[in-house]
Amino acid sequence: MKKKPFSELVIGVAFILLGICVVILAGSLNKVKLGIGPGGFPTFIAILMILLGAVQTIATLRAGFEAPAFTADRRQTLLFLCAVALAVLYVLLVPVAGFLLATPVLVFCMMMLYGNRKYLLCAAISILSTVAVWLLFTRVFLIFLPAGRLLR
Amino acid sequence: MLPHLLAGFANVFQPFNFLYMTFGTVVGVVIGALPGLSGSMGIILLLPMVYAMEKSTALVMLCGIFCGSMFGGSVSAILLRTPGTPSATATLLDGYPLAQQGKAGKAIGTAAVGSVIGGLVSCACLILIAPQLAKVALKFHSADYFALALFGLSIMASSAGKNVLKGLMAGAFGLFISTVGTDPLVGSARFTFGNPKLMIGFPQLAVLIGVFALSEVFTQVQGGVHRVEVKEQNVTDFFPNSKEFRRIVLPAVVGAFIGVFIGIIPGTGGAIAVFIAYNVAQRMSRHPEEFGKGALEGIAAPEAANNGTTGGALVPMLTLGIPGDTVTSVMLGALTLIGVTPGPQLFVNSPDIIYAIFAGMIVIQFLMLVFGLLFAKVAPRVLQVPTDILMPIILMLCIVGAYSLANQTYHVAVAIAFGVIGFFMKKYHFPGAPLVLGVILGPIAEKNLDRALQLSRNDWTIFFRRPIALTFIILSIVMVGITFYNNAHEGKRKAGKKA
Repeated sequence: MKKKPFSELVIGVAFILLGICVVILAGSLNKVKLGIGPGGFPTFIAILMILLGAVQTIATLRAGFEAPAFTADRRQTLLFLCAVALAVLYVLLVPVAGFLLATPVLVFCMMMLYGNRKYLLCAAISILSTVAVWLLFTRVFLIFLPAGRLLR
Repeated sequence: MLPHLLAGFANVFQPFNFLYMTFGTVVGVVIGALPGLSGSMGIILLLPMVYAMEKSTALVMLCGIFCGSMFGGSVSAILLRTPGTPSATATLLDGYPLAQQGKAGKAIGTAAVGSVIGGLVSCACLILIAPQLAKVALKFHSADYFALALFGLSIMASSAGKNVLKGLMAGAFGLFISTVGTDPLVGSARFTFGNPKLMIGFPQLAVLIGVFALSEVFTQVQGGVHRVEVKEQNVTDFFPNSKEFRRIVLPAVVGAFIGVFIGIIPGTGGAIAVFIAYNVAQRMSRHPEEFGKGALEGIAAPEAANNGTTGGALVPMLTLGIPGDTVTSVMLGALTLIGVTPGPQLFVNSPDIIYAIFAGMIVIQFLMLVFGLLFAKVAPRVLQVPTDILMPIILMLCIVGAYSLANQTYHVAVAIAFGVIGFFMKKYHFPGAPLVLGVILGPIAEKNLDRALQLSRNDWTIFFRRPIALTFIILSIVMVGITFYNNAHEGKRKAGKKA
């Protein structure tokens, strides 16, 4: 039988642990006489999660698993982390800087992350696409986009 | 029915409705053709637009994206040997070899004709089946709805193929996600850890944006600059001649019915239907040896099947509020934005909306034919849009879409969080669709389970005493059982071969 990656075991165990946490937390919710109550459905799901996690764990243990190895491509991992960090930073910045200031920066930086090195072209596309989306949504579709405290 | 349908046609031919329907179809074709983007992504990108629209306008535009993307996927399958959507995977088996023979135009034309046949058959089935099913659904008890939700989840997990366990795990995780926030039964806070923002839970559409769209942005960033190389193709001579048409019409009609049948089953979709239709077309053909080398039936049948699923998938969505596939699950979320609650009551209270969809679906098939073929002419240039430009703009549109759900950055944060979860799910081969279905079906299952038990005074046998509920429960067990058995059998067969 082909060995499974170590991650399969980690996911199985994590699923069991999550299920156990949900059972404990659901147990502290209000009880009702009729029906399932707020804790009933999460408890069913948690039991299902524990069972599925157990099947995943046992299947991985039976098949055997490869030794944990951190073989991930560093550059790829860094690119992914930078993309997520940029998106999170954007969420934090947009209430302050507003859509019009924060979005071109996000789009430009993402283009850089994607490997585009035509700086002027990227800057032009970032600004033009942001302004186009801003005009379209605020003027045509009448959807409010965050103006930001800086521009107010 | 006929007067309603005629009123529906009058509705869709209103200038604004027709304009947006055409726009939706064109966007669908283009999005579908771009590898990595799908119909669900198209709907997500246009979500903010639907607020400002009339209900029927928004609905026909969404249907346009749905149908257009099904056909669009075939264009890149034929020209690039890369299916634009999973539903176009079978089309490339014969479409690409035909394009290699210098007949790309003929291949795309056959795909368009097959798509129209599939779409029209599925419209006919939708118009005939949906109102009848809605009448039956009006009599559904809460126990039946709970069992139906269970069935939807089991089918979705089963359709995860060899990853059935992972499909079930993703579905269970989605169900758990749906329980976070204020519970729908007594209104108490659940798993919020005192955070007031979590009281609204994880909004379904923000989760959808994350799992289906942002995860793609995060995945593709690891690929670096990706510019598709499209060889110069002779994209002319679209339409099959009468002899060729006679050859493709029967496999296309059979494929269309297969598509409708698969589409109606909740949680399935075009990706499954196309291979069944392809195999059936090969068995039916007088020249099975031509399959894989550019057989026209090998293009028409799967294309008819994937467009056949469109009308089929709308049946459970409109009548029961249960999505037929991933695109309709996003559509279901979009409907809530415009205040449309799918279900049998929609047929009673808003027949104008229902028949506008029916009429729109018919008109869209012809729009798809015209604009699909026009797009095929410029496709070699459009498909060269590099990911390093496209993906950051998609990210921006996803953020706008998530923000516009409630004018809150919380929704954007949820979308990003689920984008990361979706990224890891892809990395470790967990299907995203069962998670989304779990999030959608979770509240339906919970409310109906509670209501059924309240009505029966906590008598669990209610689920086995009602014939409809019992049927769905048995079907759920059988579906999961068959899939596990097939997986085990397949594993043993492979082990035997190696030995």
